[in-house]
Amino acid sequence: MSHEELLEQIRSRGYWRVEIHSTDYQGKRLPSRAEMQNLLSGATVSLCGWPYPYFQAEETTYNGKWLEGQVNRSYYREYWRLYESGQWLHYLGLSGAWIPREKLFEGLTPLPPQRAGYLHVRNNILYTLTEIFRFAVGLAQGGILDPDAFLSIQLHNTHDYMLFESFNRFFGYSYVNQSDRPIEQQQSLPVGELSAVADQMALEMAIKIYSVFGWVPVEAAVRTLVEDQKKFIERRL
Amino acid sequence: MANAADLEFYIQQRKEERYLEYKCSMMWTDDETTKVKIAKAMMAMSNLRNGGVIVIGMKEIQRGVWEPDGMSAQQVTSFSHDDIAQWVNDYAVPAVQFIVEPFVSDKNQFVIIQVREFDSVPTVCRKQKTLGGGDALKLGAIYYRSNRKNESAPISSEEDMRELIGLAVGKGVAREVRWLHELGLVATEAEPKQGDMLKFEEEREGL
Repeated sequence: MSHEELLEQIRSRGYWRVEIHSTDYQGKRLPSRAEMQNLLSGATVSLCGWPYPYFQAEETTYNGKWLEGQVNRSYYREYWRLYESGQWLHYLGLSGAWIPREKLFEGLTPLPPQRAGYLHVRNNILYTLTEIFRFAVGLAQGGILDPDAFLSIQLHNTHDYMLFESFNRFFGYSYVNQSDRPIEQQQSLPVGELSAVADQMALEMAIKIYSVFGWVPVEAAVRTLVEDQKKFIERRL
Repeated sequence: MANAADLEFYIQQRKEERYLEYKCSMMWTDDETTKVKIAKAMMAMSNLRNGGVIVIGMKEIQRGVWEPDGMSAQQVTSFSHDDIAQWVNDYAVPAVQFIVEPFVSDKNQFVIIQVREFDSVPTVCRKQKTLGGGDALKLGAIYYRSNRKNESAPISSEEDMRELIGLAVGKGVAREVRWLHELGLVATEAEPKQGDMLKFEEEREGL
């Protein structure tokens, strides 16, 4: 499948668009394939399950200007590019957009209402964002975001998607995105600050997304999210 | 400060978390054992990032699974802020900051103690308390809730100690950074340069 076809598939349902680069454009920060691959193998985040991003050096393509990777396996769809300038661009399909409702909620009676897609509060949002921000820290540590990092994280096409929690948790089925607009966060900050605030930024953006779905977590729920995020980071899940 | 939805959430969680400890129904004035248990939990919570919460009036129906049980009116009124502060802070230094609130959920009464994270230095037990011949509270102990076990106990691993030191040092650094921001000596947010942003956009070729 060509990358155009894959991108079309990804964009046909809910997906993330992630753009990370320096605020200072330098065309040749990563002048070779080897440097790009080294950077990615150091920055890839693998805390639990599917890594962020999906990077297998032997499955990548290099055209002299950028390195690109893609995957289209089971419910996972991704396409990414790492440019010579150090710019990172990633389209990541939401797995909850592709798993059939009967499979996603297997064993649950009755099934939740039929919706365009389903997003798990932690797995599909908080943990993904935590990985994205930690990946940005990895890029910063690779020296390609100096002096300041620019991050743009967007969640697209989640109109009529429903938030859900694990079934042993106190949660309802009433949180549905009624908006057609992408949910976006853009931020520029010194790379030295990025590692200190990455997890907090992930949490804040997750809460912003929840609020678009109509869920404004109370302080107690935020505490639980903080703890769950910590468990995820420490690989205690 | 937590609102009613928060307090309800703490009860409905039904399993203890690092920041959340459940206790069975009891009177504050029952005996010294009760006071020691609460004091330990409060000192431990105060040493956690974001503090913690103790819910009194729960029942453990099987290991690790709790359900709301409720307290009598007499039990609830026995938990006064002044009495708890006086007893706990006789052992804790610096003093533990907290709120005590009675709360009704589904006709059951509870007492919820919300403990604040320490301000600048961790809470240490400054006095020995002996009960039944054993040490109930240890002089010099730093009570903590480890990320491996939801239990309020003296800090015993280097991992927990590093985490606590990191929290305390971070608070110090944050104070310094705030001070530098106030003096205008550091920029608060980096400004993206428009010309450079355009070059990144061109590089993406519409993607």
